[in-house]
Formats: sequence, structure tokens, C-alpha cells
Amino acid sequence: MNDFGKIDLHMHTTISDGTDTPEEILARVKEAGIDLFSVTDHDAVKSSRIIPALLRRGDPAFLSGVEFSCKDEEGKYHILGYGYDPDAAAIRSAVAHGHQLRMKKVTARLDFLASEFGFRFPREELERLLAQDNPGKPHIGNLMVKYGYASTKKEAIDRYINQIHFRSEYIRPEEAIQGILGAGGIPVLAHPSYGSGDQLIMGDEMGRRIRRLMEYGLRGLEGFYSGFTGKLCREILSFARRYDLYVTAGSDYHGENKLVALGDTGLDSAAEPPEELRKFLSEAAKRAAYPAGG
Amino acid sequence: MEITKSIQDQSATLGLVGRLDTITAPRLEEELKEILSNVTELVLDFEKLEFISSAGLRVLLSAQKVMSRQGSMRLIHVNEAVMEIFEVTGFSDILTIQ
Amino acid sequence: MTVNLKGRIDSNNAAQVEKDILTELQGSSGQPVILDAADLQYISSAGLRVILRLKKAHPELRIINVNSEVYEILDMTGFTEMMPVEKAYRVVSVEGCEEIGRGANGTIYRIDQDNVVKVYNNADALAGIQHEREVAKLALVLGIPTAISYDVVKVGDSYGSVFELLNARSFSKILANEPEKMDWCVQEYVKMLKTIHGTLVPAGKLPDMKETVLGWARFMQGYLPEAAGRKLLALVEAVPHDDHMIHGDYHTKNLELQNDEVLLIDMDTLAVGHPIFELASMFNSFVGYSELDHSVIRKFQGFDFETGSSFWHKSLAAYLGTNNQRKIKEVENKARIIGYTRLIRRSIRRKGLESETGRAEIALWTEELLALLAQTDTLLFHANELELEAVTENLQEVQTFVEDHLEASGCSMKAQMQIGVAVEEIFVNIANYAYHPDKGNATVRVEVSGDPVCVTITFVDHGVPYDPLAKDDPDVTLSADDREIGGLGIFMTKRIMDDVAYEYKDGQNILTLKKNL
Repeated sequence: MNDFGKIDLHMHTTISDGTDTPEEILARVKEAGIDLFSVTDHDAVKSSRIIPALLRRGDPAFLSGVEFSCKDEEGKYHILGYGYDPDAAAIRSAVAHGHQLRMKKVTARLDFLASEFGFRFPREELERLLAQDNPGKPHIGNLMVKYGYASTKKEAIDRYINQIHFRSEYIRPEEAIQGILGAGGIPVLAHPSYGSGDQLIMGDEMGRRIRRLMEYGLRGLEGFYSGFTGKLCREILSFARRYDLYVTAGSDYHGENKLVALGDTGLDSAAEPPEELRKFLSEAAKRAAYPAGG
Repeated sequence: MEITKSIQDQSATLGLVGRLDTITAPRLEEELKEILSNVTELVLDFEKLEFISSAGLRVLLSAQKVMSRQGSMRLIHVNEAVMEIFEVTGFSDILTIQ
Repeated sequence: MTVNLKGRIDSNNAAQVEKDILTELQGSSGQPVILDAADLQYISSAGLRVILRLKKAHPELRIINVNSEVYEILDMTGFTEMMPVEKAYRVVSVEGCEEIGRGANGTIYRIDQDNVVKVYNNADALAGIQHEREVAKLALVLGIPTAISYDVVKVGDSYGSVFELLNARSFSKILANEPEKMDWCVQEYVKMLKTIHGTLVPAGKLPDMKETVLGWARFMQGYLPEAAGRKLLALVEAVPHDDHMIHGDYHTKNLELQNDEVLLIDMDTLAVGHPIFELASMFNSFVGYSELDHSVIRKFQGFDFETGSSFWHKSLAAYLGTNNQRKIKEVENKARIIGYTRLIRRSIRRKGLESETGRAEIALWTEELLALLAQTDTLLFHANELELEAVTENLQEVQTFVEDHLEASGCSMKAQMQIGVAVEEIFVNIANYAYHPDKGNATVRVEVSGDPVCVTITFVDHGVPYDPLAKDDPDVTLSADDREIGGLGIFMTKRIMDDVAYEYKDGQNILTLKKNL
């Protein structure tokens, strides 16, 4: 057993596409009996600022987290960052860049809906939308339903929003990794077997991907993940061992949005964890926030 | 066991074929009783003898006792396995083995 | 509860598919969930994650009718090791195909020059196929040459597993068509049998045959006189657990000659247990099933009853390593106890008691069984042990029995003869003195073991306590005239053997002779 017991280092709040607020997620983490957790909102570090202040006596330890959506010529990646200083300029500029690209997408979608279908929204609604941390298709869809352009969110997305095709822009993986490292954090490749969408990465392709990201400074792999089978987990662990990388464990909990249970990482918390995870946890122990008074 | 017999004058040769053991030894004894009174030279051909047990040795010893009084007895064509039995029991010193 | 998966499941529709499945599953609480992938063409990683989540919510989840592309993805990603995944099955017809074998659970047909299919006749065919595949793999890993099925096919309403069997002929066919090869068949058949029985199986990997036979014995309780029923049960219960492999249906249709290689097939009855259970099933295959109706064996094996009996007796002799009829009969009788038990139970379960011929058969078998039970105290046998009356008339039998075993272990003629000298001395001693003037039995046991090889021969009798070693050795340096006639036997024995030990224990004289070769 590791020093922390039950851990879950991958989950989302309403700051990105989860359905729990930071307060709610803390309550659920406690309920799930988790001893160490990290909230990894997409392209956002806000939760890492909010949550340490919420911790009360008896609460679990918290590790700052983030999940960057990245892309380069070779494909798409989700890069997790752990144990960074959320006030450091390096990570804030990476987050700002990611957020900017995301906003660009929202603006492009709203422009398309206006020009193609004539859907328009009051200015204060648009301002409120753009002020959100992570607005996306569902938020626009809700707005369309509210103003009678579609009867359901699903119809809004399928029939209108998805009509626009443009090349999404993401920050590059080296930028995310440098941002995390610059803020004293540990960059980790999220669910390595699953690229984006339908991609399945295994074997040599995985090896190439990891080696490329290691050149930028990647330090770990998410080896325990709710979406992994035993075989996929074993493969990631063997890569971690071969390249001397940390191993982390996360569920990718999204609240109501996905059927994933909080704390479901595939890791048996009663079993002896692999060396690479233990090493990560001893790093995490130094960087975690603990409730005042223990 | 089969016993082949050839007698010339006072010289007899018995060939033993098979096993000389508890079961067959009495037959050799019978055979010897019949001929020994008239012979001075007894030759036992062991070429086809496969096995000898202490019952066989006992018959040989009796014959040897008789023949050393009235003539001679010798064994020919003794195979290695039988020879070892003679050696183990000291019979190789008593019997004339060629 | 079955849910059909259709078309493609990828990131475009994974979320929707997941929702749809959950909707369908509402109210199905408790029922095992089956995903039927007959119409599923493709699944991406996004789709896989949907299945993984379903699996977590429904631990009993299984997927059926999976096409080979989808199966490959599920296999590669480790899904096949975490849930039952059944492939879509090719449909095969066995109409007009030659039947080459028939076992308890299925019939084997040759479907073309190179392939055979075993069609299962039980309801749960897929489980049977899976079981047989697993045990065949296990057997192969443990060194038993066998064919492993490479495909599962649909045959009519049942399923079959397909094996490659090139140019293969069963031993039954060889025996039926080339009777001159009988001895060769016996030799190969016994060689394989000994390989099987010499194979130690890791605990828990195969079912325990003793449990099965205990079931038969319990079944018989209502059909035998109470004391006989109890004795039958006690005999089976007394058979010790044995982790060595037994085939369970070892007859000549299940042994194939493929080119020059002998292959064992029909592995679904593989078990662990004492060899007597195997011998019982062999007895039934060659004799028991057809004892009352000789046409049965011709129909089943293709050769006549005499060939079957002869093959059985020769095989048993070769297996026991002796031609000693007493020994062969003793072991055969033990096998017959279990064999008849099985026959009676089988007949009763097939409503044998409801027909006149059935009742007659059951009565005959029961009569045999009761007679055998009366004369048997154990189902255990030791091929290397012979019990017989201690009279000099039996000396030759003892000698031949010992020689059979020594010869089988490559003992030189010279050593055989020396050991023979010792055996004679001891046995004749027992015959002459142990029970005098009455008669009694002696047991001779031959053990050849170790490296360098050591032969141990043990004599046991229940006669008066007598230590032959207590006598002084004769003086072998004396001349012929001075030598005592007699008294040499024990001395010779001591000289010939490397160790001679006597012990009186539990009313038994036990004399042990050892010789290092």
C-alpha cells in the first residue's frame, strides 16, 4: 500500500466540462474515501487556486493539477500537469494561450451561427458565455434552446453547431510541458493508449510518442486509468519502467457527463504500488496542499 | 530344464539347458544318482545353463563329494554370470572349472 | 438481456450509443447483459471505453457474435481477457461426412482432407468447447501431443470445434484393417498411456476423477444390497488423491496416427486421479460396453469383440509390465468394479429398468459386481507387486514376474541372474517354513529406482516370525568334503545383494533385498 491509500489524480469540475463545482467535488472526494486527489480541468488552473483554501481538518490532501489539450504535426495529446505553482507566469501563459484558442473557437462558432442561420443572442448573454472558464458546444447549445433556435441541446449541436468545420487550434505539447515545468510542476501524458477521439495507440507507436514528448521534458505516464483494461495498463507500466518515467493514476471523472466513478483508476489501493507510482507519490507528498491542522 | 546325456565307457557328459533351481535341481540329482555309480569321469557342460540357485549348488556339491572319491568332475563352458555365483559362494575353489 | 450493437461505434456516436444502451438496460437489473455484435462492423477506442464502462456497471457482461476484425481489436486491447468475448461462427455442415470418432460429449467428423470437426451434443456446447480448448492447451504445455482446435463453427443447432488432422488414422481403423499391427498398436497405446499417467498436473487445473466416481458409487446405494453399496463407496473413498493426469476416455478412436506421430484427441474428459479410474473406462470401452452385445463394439470401434478383448488384455499386460495372468486378472477385476458400476448407473439413467432387456443386463452386471466386491479389499494396485500362494510350484511365476520388471528397466542378464538366485532363496524359504504345515500367501514387490539404478525386492508373508539372517554364515573356505550341504542360500543372498534387511512388523515377516546396478 502507498502512503496515501486511495488516490485519484484526474477529474474535472465545472471550471471545464465536469458537472461538479470545486466545493461539490471536494465533498464527493471525501465521500469516496480518497486520500489524495488532483483536479485537472482542461486548460485551466483555477481549481488549483480555489481548492487548497477549501480544505478543512480531516480532508484529503490536494495536488494542483491541469490537463492541456495539445496538438502538433504528429497528433493530439492530453498533457497533465501536477504539483505546479498556479501563480507562476510560465503556466499562466500556457493556460492563457489555451484559453485564447478555445475562445477563438467559440467566437468562430457564434459567428457561423449568426451568418449561416441568423441566430443571434443578446450581448449580455454572449459576454456571460465568454466569461466562462471553458465554454464549448454544450454551452452554445443551451443558449440556442433558451432562445428557441432549437428544441433540444442535442438538436442544436447535431443540426446546427456541427455544421461548421474548421481546423481546431490547440497549443503544442512542448508549450504545455514547458509551461508546467516552468511552474515547478510535473508533466504527465494522460491516458497514453487513447489519443484523441478514435485513436488507439499501442506498441511501437506508443514508444515513439513517448520518446518525442520526453525530448520536451515529459516526466510521467498515466498508467492507471478508468478506461484501461489490464493489458493496456501493463503496457504503460512497462514503458514507464523502460524510460524511467513516473506513473500516475486517475479516473477522468466528469460528474454527470460520463459514467466514470470517482476514484475508479484501476489501481488496487491495498496492493503494493509499482515503484514508478511510489516515486511519483513521494514527489506529490512534497508538493501537495494539506488541510490546516492535519 | 533339459538334460542331455552322453556316456562312453566310464566317462559321462551331461549338458544342462535352462535353469538349475529349486524346481529342477531334484531332476539333476535323480539323473546323477542313476549314472554316478558307473563313471569315473563326469563332465558338466554349462554352455546352455542360464541360471543356477543354491538348490543347484547343493546338487553340484553332492556330486563333487562323490566324484572326488571315485574319479574326477569338471565343469565346462561356464558363463560369466554363473561363474560369479561360484566365486561368491567359494564354489570356484571347490569345483574344477575349465 | 441482449443488446444489439450495429454499424460503427466511434467518437461521433459513442456517447449516443452509450445512452441508448443504458436506456435499453433500464429495468433489466440483475439480468446478465449480452452485447450481440453480429451487426457491429467497427469499434474505435471511444467505443471500447463505452464497453469498459458497461462492464464496470454490469460485471456479467459478455459479447457474442463478434466478427474477426472487431475480435482482433478486443483482443489487442485486453478486452478478451476481462470479459467473455465470443466470435461469430462460420457455419459448417457435416452431412455426408465420415464419422471418425465419438465420445461422451460429441462426435468427430472429417470435413475435408485436412480438417475434422468435433460437434458437441450437449446443450452448453460453447462452454464445452472452451473447456476442451483449455484442457488441450494445458495438456500440450505439459507435454502430451494433442491437436488444439483453431476455430469454432456452427453446426446445425449446435457448435463444433475444428482441428487440423492431416492424413490421420485412428488406432481403431488400423486395428480393424491391419490386424497384424496389433502389437505395434498396443505398444504405442501403452506408451501414450504411461506418458499421460506420468504427467503431474498443477493443482486445481483439472477436475478430480475420484469425485466423479464417488458420484457413481453414491448413485448405486439404492440399487445394491446395503453392505455391498457401503463397501463400493468405501473402496472408492479409499483411493488416495492423485494429481497425475488421466484421459478419461482412452480408447483407440481417440488415438490418431498422423504421419509418424501419435496424437491424443478428444480431450474434454481430461482429469486427474488414480490410474484405476482410467483402466475402468478402458475396460468398458473394449469389453464392458459390448460384453453382452458384441455388435456394439463393431459399431463403435469398427473391429470385433475378440480384437477388443485381446487389445485390452495385451495393453493391460504391457501397462503393468508383466504377463503374469494373476496380476492382470487382479487389476482387471478392480477396473471391472468401477466399470460395472458405471454401466449399471448408465443403464438405469437411460431407463434400463423399464425394459426387460435392460433389467436383464442390469441384473447380470450387478451379479458380477457383487461377486467382485466380495473378493476385493482395495481398488489400489501396484504393477510391481504380486501376491500369491507361497508354494515352490509358484517359484517360476515369481521369477518371471521379477524378471519382467528387471528387463523393462534394462537390467543386465548377469544382474538378473544374481537377483534371481536371491529371489529363489527367499521365496523357497517362505514356501518351506513360513506357514508349515499350512499354506499361506506371500507378496513380492519389485522397485527399480534412482540413478545409479537400485533394485529393491521386498518379500512379505504372514507366517511365523523367522529371521533368516540370524543364522551364522557357512565357512566357504572349506573343501568340498568338509562343506555342509545346504545353508548356502542366505549366505549367497547376502553376498549377491548390497543390502539384506529383515523386519517383523504388524504380524508380517518383511525381508528387503537391495542391489545397486
